[in-house]
Amino acid sequence: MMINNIFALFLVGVLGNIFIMKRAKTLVSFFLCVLLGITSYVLIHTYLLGQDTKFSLIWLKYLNLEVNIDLYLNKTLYQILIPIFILSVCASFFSIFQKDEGGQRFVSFIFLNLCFYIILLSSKNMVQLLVASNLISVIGFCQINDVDARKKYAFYNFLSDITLFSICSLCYAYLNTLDINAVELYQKTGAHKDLVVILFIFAISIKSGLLMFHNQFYDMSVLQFNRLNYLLYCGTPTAGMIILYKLIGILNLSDYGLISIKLLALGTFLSGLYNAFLKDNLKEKAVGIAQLNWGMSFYLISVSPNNMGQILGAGLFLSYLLNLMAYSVYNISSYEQNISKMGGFIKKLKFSFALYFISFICGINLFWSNLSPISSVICFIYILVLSLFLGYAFHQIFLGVTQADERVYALLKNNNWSVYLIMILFCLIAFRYINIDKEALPINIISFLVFLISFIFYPLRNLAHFYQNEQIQETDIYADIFEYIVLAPLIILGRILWLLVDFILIERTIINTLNNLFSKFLILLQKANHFSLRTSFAYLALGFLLLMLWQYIRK
Amino acid sequence: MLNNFSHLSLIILIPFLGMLFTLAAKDSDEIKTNNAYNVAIFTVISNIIMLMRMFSLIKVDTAGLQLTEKYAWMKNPDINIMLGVDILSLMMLLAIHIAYIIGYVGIRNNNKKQKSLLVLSLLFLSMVNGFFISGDIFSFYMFFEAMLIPLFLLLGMFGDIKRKEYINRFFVYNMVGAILFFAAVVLLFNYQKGVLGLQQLSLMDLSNRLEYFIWGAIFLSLLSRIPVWPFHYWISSVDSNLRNPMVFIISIIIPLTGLYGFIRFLPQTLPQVLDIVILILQIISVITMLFIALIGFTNKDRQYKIFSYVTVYYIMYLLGIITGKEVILLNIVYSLFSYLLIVASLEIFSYYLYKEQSQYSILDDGMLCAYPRLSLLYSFMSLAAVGLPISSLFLSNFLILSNLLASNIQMGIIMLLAIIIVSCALLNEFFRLRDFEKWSLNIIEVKDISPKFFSLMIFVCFCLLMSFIKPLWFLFIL
Repeated sequence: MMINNIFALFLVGVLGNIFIMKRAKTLVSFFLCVLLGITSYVLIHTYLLGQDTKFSLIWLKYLNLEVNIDLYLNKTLYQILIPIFILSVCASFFSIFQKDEGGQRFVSFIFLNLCFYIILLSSKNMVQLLVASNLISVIGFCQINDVDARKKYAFYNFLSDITLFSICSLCYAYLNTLDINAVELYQKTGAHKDLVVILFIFAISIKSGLLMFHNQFYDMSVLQFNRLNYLLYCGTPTAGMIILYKLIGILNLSDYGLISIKLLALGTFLSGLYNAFLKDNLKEKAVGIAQLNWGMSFYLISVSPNNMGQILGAGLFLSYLLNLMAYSVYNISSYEQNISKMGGFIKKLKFSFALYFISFICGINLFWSNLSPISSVICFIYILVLSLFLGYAFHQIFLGVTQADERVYALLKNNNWSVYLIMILFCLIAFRYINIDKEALPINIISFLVFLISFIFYPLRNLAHFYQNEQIQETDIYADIFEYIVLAPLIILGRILWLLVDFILIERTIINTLNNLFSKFLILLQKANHFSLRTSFAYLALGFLLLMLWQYIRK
Repeated sequence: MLNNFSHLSLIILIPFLGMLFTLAAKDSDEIKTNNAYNVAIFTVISNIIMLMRMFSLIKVDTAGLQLTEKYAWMKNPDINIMLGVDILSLMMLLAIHIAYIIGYVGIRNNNKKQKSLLVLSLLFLSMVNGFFISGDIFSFYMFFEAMLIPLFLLLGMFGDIKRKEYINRFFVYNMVGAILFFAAVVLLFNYQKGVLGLQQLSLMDLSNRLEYFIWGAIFLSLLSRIPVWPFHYWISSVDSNLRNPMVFIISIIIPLTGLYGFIRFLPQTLPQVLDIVILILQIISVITMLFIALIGFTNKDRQYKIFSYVTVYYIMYLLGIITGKEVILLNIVYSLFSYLLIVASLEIFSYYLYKEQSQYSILDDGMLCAYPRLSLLYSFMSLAAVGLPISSLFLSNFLILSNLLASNIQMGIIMLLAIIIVSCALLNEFFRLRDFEKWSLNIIEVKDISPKFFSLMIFVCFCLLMSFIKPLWFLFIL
C-alpha cells in the first residue's frame, strides 16, 4: 500500500508541475491538499498498525558494482516521516488561501519533496542517500521564487551536496561497499578519518543552516510566509538532520566529531536567540525560532540518535506552532512585517491571543513529555527560552500603545480561520499524546511564570531599541565573511593567474619565445638547404646523434 | 548473414558519401536552400541507426573488440587494416553523433559558409568514426592524424581575428605529436615484425628502452591532444576564441581522441619505474585543472567558462583512466556520453544567446528571462553539468572520484576543488543570465527557440535522464 502511495506522490508531483491549470486554481489546490491528506492518513494508519514496508529493486549491476533502490520503512522511520507529512499537509492547506501565483506548482513540489524524503529515509546505500539529498535540494530550489535567495541557496546546497558526495566516495573507496551501515567499519579500514569528519560536519552544517551558514534562510524572508515555513521545516534543514542520523557513525571516527556538532548546535541556538530577539521583521524572527529548534535538535540527536523520531517530531511541532503564530499575526495585520509597528492588538484580537497561548502550552507539554527523558536540562532551557521569547514578542504585539498604521489597526480582526483551525487541530493532537505527570507540572508552572513576567513586566524592553539599529537589521556578517575570505581571494588569484601567468608569462613570454625560436629554426633549415661545409658537418653530426640515440634505445 | 555485413566500414563510408553529396548539393550563401543541411542531418541520423544496429549485435559484457573486419592493404611492407568495436568505442561514437545533431540543429539558420562547414564537419566525422573503430596501430595512427585536416581548415574559416596565431600553435603542437607517434609506429612495426592489434599493445611488457621509447612517444603524442599543461595552450586558444558552435563541438572531440588513446594503450601492468612519471603527470594535471578552473571563475566570457569546464572534466577523466581499473574505464565512458551532450547543448544555447544579443544590441544579464523554453533547457543542462543526479555524470563521477581520492588524497582534493570552482563558475553564469531585475531594464520583444529545436533538446534531456537511470537504457529498446 505504502509503495503505491510513494509512486502516486511522484506521479501527482510530476503531473502537477507539467499541467498547470489556469482556471479553478483554488479547486486544484484543494484537490491536491485532500490527496495529500489521504496519503498522510495512510501513512499514519500504517504506522499505527505497526506494519513495515519493504521494497527492493536492483537498480544498476555491472562488473563488481551493484546499486539497489530500497524502500524500507520501519516504526522509527515512520515516526520521523509523520511530522514532515503533517507539516506538508498544513503548507498545502494554507496555499489554498494565499494569492500565490505559483500555488499549484508549490503544492506539486511538496508531493515530490515528500517522495524524495521517503527515498532519503529508507536509503540503505550511499548512492540512494546522495540522490535523495540532491533532489530535496533541487525541490527547495524550485520552491524559492526569488532570484537572490535562490542563488545563495543553490551555492550553499551545491557545496553541501558535493562535500557529501566526496565523503561517500571516499568511504566507498576504502570500504568497497555502498552500504550505509558499513560506515562504522571505516574506523578499521579507512584513512584520513579526521578529514572525513570535518567534511561531514561541514556538509551537514550547510545543509541544515547551522551557525555560519544560516544566512541562506534569512535571504528567504522575502518569500511568502507559508513557503518560508515550509522550507524551514520540510526543506534541507530536516534533510540534514536525517543525513546526520543515517551517517552518525562518521562522527565517531574522530574524537572531536560529536563535540564539534554539539558546539555548532550551541552556536546555532545562540545565533537563533540573537535573531529571534533582535530582528524586527516577523519572518526573520521566524527563521530565528527555526534556528533555536535546529540547535536544540542537533544537540539532542548527537546525544541520542536512536530517539530521532521523537526529537524531530516534538521539535518541529513546537517550533512550527510558534511560526504559525507569527504567520497568523502577519496575516491579521494586513501583511505588516515589522513587529515594531504593532502593539495594542489585544483589544481586537482576544481570541487569537487566547488560542496562541493555549496552543503554546500544549506544544511545550508535548515537547517535554517526549524529549525530557533524553535530556531534561536541555529541554528545560529550551522551554524557558521560548517562554521568555513568547512573552517578549506578545508584549510587543498585544500590549502597549499601538505603533501600527491606522489602516492596519482598523482592519484587525480575528478572521484568520485557516490558521486557527490548524492550531486547534494541533492542540487536539497534542492533548491526545501529552502525558502530564508530576514532573511536568513544575515545568508548566515555571514556563507560565516566565511567560507572564516577560509579557507583563517586559524586562527585556531594552532589546527592542535594536529594532531601529540598521547595522543589526540589515548587515549579513556571514555573507561578508564569505565574500572577503572565500570569494575575493579566489577572484584575485584567478585574475593574477589569468593576467600575470596566462597572458604575460605564458602567452607573451614563453609562447612568443617558442614561436620566434621556431621561426629561427625554419630559417636555419632553409639556410641549411644550401650546400656548404658547415651545413654538411651539421647534417653529419645530426646523423651521428640519431645513430647514438638509436643505439641507446635498442639496449 | 548479417554478421558478414560490413557495419564498421559503412559508418566510415556513410559520412564520407554524405560529404560528397553535400559538396554536390546546390547551396550557396546567397540563395539559401537547405539541401546541404538536410543531407548532413540525414547522414548523421543514418549513422546513428547503424550504431544502434551495432549495439544490438555486440555482446556488452564481453571484453575485446567485436564485429571485427580485416582488410589487406599492402603486401610489402605487410600492412593489414583491422577494424573492431566494443562498448567503449560505441558509446563514444553515439555521444559524438548526438552532439553532432545538436550542433547541426543549433546552426540551422547560419548563413556564413554553411556548406563548407557541413562538408568539413562530415569529413571530420568520417575520420573520427575510423579512429574509434580502428583495431590496429596503423589505422589508429592514420585516422588519428587525418581528422586534424578538416579541423585545420575549419579553424582557418571560422576562427576569429587571432586565428593565424592559434592555427600556428595548433600546427606546431600537433605536428610534434604526429612525428612522435609516427616514430613509435615505425619502431613498433620494426620491433614486432608487422602491424600490431590494439589489444595486443596493452598486454605488452615494458622491459627495455625501446619499449619505453615507444610508449613514451605514444603517450606524449596522446597528451598533446589533452588540455594538460603545456599542451593546454593550443586547445585553450582554439576553444575560447571560436564563435561557431559546430566548430567548437568538433574541437572538443579532439581531447576525446587523446583520452580514448589512453584507454586503448595504457599497459595493463605498469612497471614500477613509471610510478614517478605517473606522479609527475598527476601533479601537472591537477595544477592545470586548478589553474584553468580559477581563470574560468574569474573570466567573464561565457565561452571561456565552458572551455574551463571542458578542460577540468577531461583532465579528471585522464586521471581516472590512469588508475586502469576496468569498472572506472567503463564509468568514464558512461560519464563521457552525458558530458559531451551537456557541453554541446550548453555551447549551442550560449551561441543562440550571443546571436540574439548582437541582433538586439543588448546586455545578456537576465536574458534567459525572456526565453522561457531556452531558460528551462539551460537550467537543466547547467544542473546536469554541475553533477546533479539527472545524468550518468553523477554515478560515474562518484566512482571515478572514489578511486582518485583513495589513490592520492591530496590530488583528489585539489581535483575536487577545481570541479567545485568550475561548477560555481557555470552556476554563477546561469544566475547572471536568469537575473530578472537586470533584464527588466531592457524589455523587448524577442524570439524564443523554435518548437522543433525545443523538442529535440527535450529528447536530449530525456536521454540524459535515462542515462542516469541506466547508462545503457537504449539496449532494452533494441
